[in-house]
Formats: sequence, structure tokens, C-alpha cells
Amino acid sequence: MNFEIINPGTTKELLGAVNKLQKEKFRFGAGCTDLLMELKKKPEDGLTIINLSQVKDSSFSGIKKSAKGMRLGAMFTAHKIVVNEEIKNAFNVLHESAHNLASTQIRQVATVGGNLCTASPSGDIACALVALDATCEMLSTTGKRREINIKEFFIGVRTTAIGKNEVLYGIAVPANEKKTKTIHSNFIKIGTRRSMECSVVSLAYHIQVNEEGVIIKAGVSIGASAPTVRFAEEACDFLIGKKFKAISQKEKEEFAEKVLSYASPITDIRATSWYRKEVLFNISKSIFE
Amino acid sequence: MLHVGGGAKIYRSDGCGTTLKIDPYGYCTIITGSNEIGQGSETVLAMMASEELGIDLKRIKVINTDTDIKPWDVGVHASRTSFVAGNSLLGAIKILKEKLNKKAGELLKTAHSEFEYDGGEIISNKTKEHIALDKVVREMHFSEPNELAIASFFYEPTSKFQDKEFKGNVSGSYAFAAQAIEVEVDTYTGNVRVLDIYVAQDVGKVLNPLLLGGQIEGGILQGVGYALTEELLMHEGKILNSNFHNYKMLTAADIPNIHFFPIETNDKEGPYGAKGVGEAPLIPTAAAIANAVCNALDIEVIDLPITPEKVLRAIAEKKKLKKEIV
Repeated sequence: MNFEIINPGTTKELLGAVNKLQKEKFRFGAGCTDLLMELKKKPEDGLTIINLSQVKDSSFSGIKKSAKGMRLGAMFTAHKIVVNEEIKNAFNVLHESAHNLASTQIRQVATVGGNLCTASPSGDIACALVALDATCEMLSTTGKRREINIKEFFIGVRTTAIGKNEVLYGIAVPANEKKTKTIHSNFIKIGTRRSMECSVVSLAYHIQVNEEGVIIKAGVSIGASAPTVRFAEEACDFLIGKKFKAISQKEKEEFAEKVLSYASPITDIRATSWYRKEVLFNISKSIFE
Repeated sequence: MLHVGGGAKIYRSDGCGTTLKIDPYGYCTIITGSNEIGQGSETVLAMMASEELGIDLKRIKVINTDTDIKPWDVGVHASRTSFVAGNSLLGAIKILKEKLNKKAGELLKTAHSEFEYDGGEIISNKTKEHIALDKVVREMHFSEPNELAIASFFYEPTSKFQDKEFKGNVSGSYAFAAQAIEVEVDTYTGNVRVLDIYVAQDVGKVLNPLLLGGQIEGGILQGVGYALTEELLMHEGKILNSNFHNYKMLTAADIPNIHFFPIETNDKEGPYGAKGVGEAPLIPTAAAIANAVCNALDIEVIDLPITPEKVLRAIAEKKKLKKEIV
């Protein structure tokens, strides 16, 4: 493993470094929890790592709450998500996804931006943010800001919509609906052990219910089941207008079938395609049980 | 479950050698053939020497890392170290004490040869007169006939190497254990969660309760891993998961509630009646977990590890079978 490293201290320096390296091979290093493993496996010649961890910019590493929702800087760590009470109360799915990520040590350095930009189909925080209908905010070397919905962010396995002259700057999570009374929000991670685990299948859901018990907004996404994390749009639409507590067995199964229609899992050393589908169907039903 | 408890002759010798010395300042060095791999044998051997020689633990050093000076030992396995290295150490202590007793008798001007060792002193059993251990060592060394306080001993257990039919009394000691395990099976995911493990094990005489507990807990978690997650996956002769990312060893987060009931016995062959305890806790675990899963789901599990996928397939097959019968 041999690479050059650049340590920008400000956002301006960061964009300057990106600009300078436009014709070179470079990678961003945030928590480096995936990057170092990847480079160890497949060393690349002539590679420069832009180390993001020294950049001092609260918009890049902090959290900000507003009437519109919550904005996390791309360098916000998994640990900071876990200990944030407001996130836990308003967006439990995000809390749980971060809490289930790897181990305590790794969560100290692993960042939300890193989890998204790695674009792993089994990304835990990524899966939660898709269910939350988040928006990704990019900053380009020209100083332009560009926002895209997270559903358009993932293009394929380890491929994102980020341009070569862009940096993922922040992620905005929209506020819950004003009429929301109860939130059913959780992250179901399937693996064989309780920590240091890569998801075999994951399901994120964030379902908002009004005073009458009627579902007014729903976000459901699946991980480790397709080339990218996927938003199960038809399954979400199916729930709107239904009473959460009165969903019948038939409806549960119909919902699970709709979730499953977004899955095209592979067979690998962690599990077979059959298992992933079977479990995805079952845990989708379990939301209402 | 019945397993070897120290001194199992799986090689032509299951012995262990010890060289023991006490220096003129009363510091003791144990050069043992046995190794320390985290099981705590250094502590246990130093405790034995301290008990026998009345030397403070801080003044005892265990040398077990240098094969240029270590006597023979076959390795850390088969629950053998405390048993074999302990007996070897006690043998060396006995020889050294004979030398020290003789010199102490001379210095205390007593004809009898019964002494106690306590608090750095050698004390006459009969007269209660005493003399400092280090002084005796110095007198051995610096007066004629000059001699060092050093002794070597090789212990070979009484067990016999197995015959051509793989039969025979192969072990110096045997351990017995039983485990009762309660599991929870998630029929949606096939995940087996081990809730409580009740362990009853014949542990011989307990030498160090804390280390014993560590051996039991560590062994059990290995047993749970053996039952549920640990598997070398092969394809066309190649190992697919040759790293700890995909070869799933369990972690501290997976430890079930362990209820340990040590059955303390006196093994006539073991040092102070002790016997090996390291492997016995991981041997019955997988079988008990498999039985618990069978009991919970009324299915048969005969293939380890019991992965979530195997459980889910077994449930699916059972459902299919029921439908066919109906």
C-alpha cells in the first residue's frame, strides 16, 4: 500500500486540492474504515488520498436543526449519530442503523458521508437515509452547490452520482410531517453475530401515523438485496391511507411482496439469494407484528 | 461428556521439564517447558512455587518463551498445562527442597529434616526455629561443598500411547461435564440466540477461581461459535473466507448468560488434585445447542454450523411436508 496524502485544513483548501488533482487518480479518505481495507486488497499505483478529517468546517462535520429538518455534515460520525437524542427521537431508523454499524471503535471514525460514498449495497446508514428520503448536497470546485435526492445518488455497486470535481458536503433529512402523531421507525439488520457484522439483508422503515392512526407518510428501503440500496416506493405508496394497527394478514403479505419486488439479491459467501428473499419477506411483514 | 483432563498421550511423550533456581537474594526462577497463550499458566505455576517455597509472588519469575533454554514440552493443548507443567514443577521443587532442607538442618543445628516454608523463612516443624531462605541459599553457594540452589525435573504422565486400534488408557486424568442450554429461534430469520448455558463440570481441585471462570467462559463462546457461525467455506479447494471478516468468530456482544457450577474433586494424579479444564466447556456446547434447536422447532439439525439459512430451510421443508401430508 503506497499513496500520497494531502491534508487540507479548510474547505477552500479541500476544493483547491480536488481541483489540482482533476487529471490524477485520487480518493477521499474520511474515517478510512473501508478505504484502507480496499487499498490493502487492491493497491493502486500513483494514487493520492485527500484526507478529509482535518478540514475545519462545521457545515462539513456538524449537525444543524431547522424547521425543514436536520442537516448532517458529511463528516458527522456514526458515533455522533448514536449519541444524539434528537436523532433518536425523530429518526430512530437512523439511530439504529448507526448503532448496528460495526463496533464501538469503528463508529468513532466512520462517517455518514463515507457510508454513502462507499456505495456498498449493504451500507447501513445509507439504507436508513434512503428510507428517510434524504437529500445529498455536493460542493464543486467551482463553488457550486448541487442537491440531489438520495435515491438518485446510488448508481451501482460502489458507484455514485458524485462528479470528479465534487465533494459530498452534507445530507439533509426532511422533518417529520406536522400532523404526525406516532412514528414507527426502525432498522432491521440481519447477520449472524451481534457486532462487527456486515448486513446479510437489511430493512429500514420510517412510517408516520397521524392522530387517527392513519399512515400519512412512509419510507421503506432495503439493503444487501440489490446492486444498490433501494427505496421500495410501491410498498410505501401501498401503505398510505391505511390504519397502521389494522393492517390485515393479507395486506401484510401484499406489502412484503411489494418490498420483495425491489430485491434482486445475489448468492455469495454470506448467504444465498433464496435466504435473502425469504428473510426480506418475513421481516417486511414483521413491521406490523 | 468425557474428555482428557491433562496428560493425554497423543504423542509418544506428554511430559514437561522444569528447571528451578533460587538466587542468593531469595528470588525464584521457574524455567518451564510449557507455554503461556493467555490461559494463565504463568500465574498458576508461580502460585504453586509460592505455596511450596514460601516466596512472595513478586519474587518469582516464569521463563517460558525461549526454546534455547527451555526443557521439553509438547505444547499447549489437550487441557494439559496446569496438570503436566504443575506436576513437573512440583517434582523440581521436591528435589530443591531436599537440598535446602539439608543445609537448613546444618545451619539450625538440628538432626531432623522436616521443614515448613513460609514468608521467606525455612521453619523447623519440631523446634519452630527458623532461618531466612536466601541465607540458606547463600550458605549453600559460598561454603564448601559449594552448590547452587538449582534443580531439574522431567514429569511424564502415567498414561500410555494409544495402540494400533487407537485404544488404551491415554490420559493422566479425565474431565467430565454436562451442559443444559436454552435457545431462542427467530422463525422469520432463522437466527438462533443462545440465552442461558448451565455448566456442570468436574474441575478437580480449583487452583485459581478467576482463571477457571475465564477458561469456562472463553471455552463456551468457542463452543457457541462452533455451533452457530464458525465455518471454513471451500470452493474447488480454495478457502473463500480466509479472514476474520467472513470467518465468523463470535465477539463479547454474543456471550450468553453462563451459569457455572464447578464440581470440585481431588484428582489423585493432578498437582494438588487439579485437572485440566480448558477444552471441556466447548465440547458439549454445540450438541446441546443443536438439541435445543431441534426441541424448539421439531426439526433435525445434524450439520454444523447451524446457520440461519439452514434453520429457515428446515422450517420451510417441514411446512412443505405438512402440506403434502394434508
